[in-house]
Amino acid sequence: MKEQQYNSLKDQITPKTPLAINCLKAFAVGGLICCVGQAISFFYMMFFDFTEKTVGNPTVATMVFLAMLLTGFGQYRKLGQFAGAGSAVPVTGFGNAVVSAAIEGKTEGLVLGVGSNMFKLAGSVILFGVVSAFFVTLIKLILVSVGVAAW
Amino acid sequence: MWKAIMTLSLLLILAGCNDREKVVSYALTDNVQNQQEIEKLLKEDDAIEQANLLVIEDELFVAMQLKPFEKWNRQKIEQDWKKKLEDKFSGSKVNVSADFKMFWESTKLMEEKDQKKMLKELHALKKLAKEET
Amino acid sequence: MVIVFQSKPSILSSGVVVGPLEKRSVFQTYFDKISADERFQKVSNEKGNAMLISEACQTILKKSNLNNLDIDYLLGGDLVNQMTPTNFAARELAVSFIGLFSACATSVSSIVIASLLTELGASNYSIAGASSQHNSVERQFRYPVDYGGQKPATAQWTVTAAGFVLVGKHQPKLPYVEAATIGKVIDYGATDPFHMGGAMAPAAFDTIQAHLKKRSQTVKDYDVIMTGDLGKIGLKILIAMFAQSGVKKEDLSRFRDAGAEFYGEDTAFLAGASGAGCSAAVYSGYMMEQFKSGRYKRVLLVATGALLSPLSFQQGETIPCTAHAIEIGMG
Repeated sequence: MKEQQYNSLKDQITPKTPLAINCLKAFAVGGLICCVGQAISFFYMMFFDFTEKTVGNPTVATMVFLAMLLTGFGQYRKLGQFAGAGSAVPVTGFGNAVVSAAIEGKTEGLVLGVGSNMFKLAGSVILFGVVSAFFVTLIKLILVSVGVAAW
Repeated sequence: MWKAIMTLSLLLILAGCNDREKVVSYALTDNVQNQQEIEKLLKEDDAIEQANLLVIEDELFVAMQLKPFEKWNRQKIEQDWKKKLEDKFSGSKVNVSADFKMFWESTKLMEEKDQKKMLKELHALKKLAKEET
Repeated sequence: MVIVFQSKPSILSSGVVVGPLEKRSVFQTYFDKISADERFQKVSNEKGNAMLISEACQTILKKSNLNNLDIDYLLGGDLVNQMTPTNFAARELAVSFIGLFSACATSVSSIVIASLLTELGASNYSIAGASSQHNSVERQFRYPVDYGGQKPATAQWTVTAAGFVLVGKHQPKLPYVEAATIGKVIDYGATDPFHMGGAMAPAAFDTIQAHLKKRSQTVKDYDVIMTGDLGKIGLKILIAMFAQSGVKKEDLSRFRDAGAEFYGEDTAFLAGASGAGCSAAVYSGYMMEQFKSGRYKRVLLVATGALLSPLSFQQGETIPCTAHAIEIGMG
């Protein structure tokens, strides 16, 4: 059987990914995670001395901590199988990527195992995040110097 | 049967939740007219959902909650209001904030009876508003 | 490509050891041992994998009343880098060791080489098989086990299992290896590592056709043609290919797949089981029992393997696959 013929047969038989339902599931779960984050923000603002400007730090820290707990107990991957992007995109997904890689590297020790492997998945996120932040700031600096924008 | 009672009572409770005046003020000043003028201005502004107005001696403190879409222009609205109030009341120290924390704390502050304590806490709030991280 | 064994080496015994999750398999009664811990209380998954293999070989020695000095060769492989679990198990067994890599097709390629050695007269007893351990394979080829990535419906679950058989000179009343086909590497341009079934089906098709042609047989000459781990969707594709090539509908039911059936209808395992241990466990345990009970007389076991590495995939390469077949007869 020729390659093209085979590939069209394969595409026929392979079940299509249910995009609509996946999007809905991702939307629902992602929204829920953000709701939890907002609730945590309000908690910090009401009971501690954080303003809207400064509450971002403790909120993200708490969300990552929760993601770490869920990952360690093996529950986050079940959430991920259900939600897809809904659990991978928020900062909890980032926490999950780092923690799951760290758990995996345990058998090679702390330095070569955990230390080296921890950012296996999240390294690109960090790298390109920092690089794009640099370029955006550079553009803003140029615009401010020219006089088009203000800090 | 139970479900119906639960939903009804929930709705009833929730209906009573957001039932307060758009602008609530606390004033310790003789210039009632000024205070009423500011209240009117705040009420008229469509971007503001709720506002707290505190007038103590020479301190003027406005804490507001903006409507969701207006939150994008938060800084601009804050600065505009600050300028507006400073122009009108050049004698006072004006502070305007659209931060939730300021609103929440000022609501609590308005229950306070002791004026000295109020002033102290107001100063603390102003300092908090200046924090960057 | 097709080898016919004149001396008909026999499968004298088998040993199948699996992990705790495999208790959910429909074949669980055919496993010799189900471990409560996938690591066998060892510190790493790879060490656990080595224990799987050691235990399977020890089971064979016990069942056939031999000790390791009686064994001429150990042939096997797994999916971890440099096959270290099998290497370390071979160290424990202290037997002449030939390590093989055909990905998930190692279960059959090892039996073929063992049969050749037996036919040559170079071996009286050889142990052949393959194994896989879920966590170590996931680490090798995909993402960390706890990572919350979403797998598509075509993805398969790598089993934690080791299946080994004892190959020796022909003996009556035991299944024997009559012929074998060593597969070519077939690449139909598949690029999705989560759809192995679709990548491997052409290789299985090619090997089965080559075997049938050279042996002048048809699908009807076999009770069952069982592939290793095409999975539910890969099996459907293979059957469609044979249907298109002219096989009648009633004969298509002879096609079965170990991976598709391994976990039954449990949707948690998506398209089914995979891994070198999948075909090895089913062939060594379940299949051999079917022969002994008289249910099957002639079977074609076709183990399929995807010859990719995580690096080759990242470098944009397609997934070349192979399939090795052995014809097992009885009586």
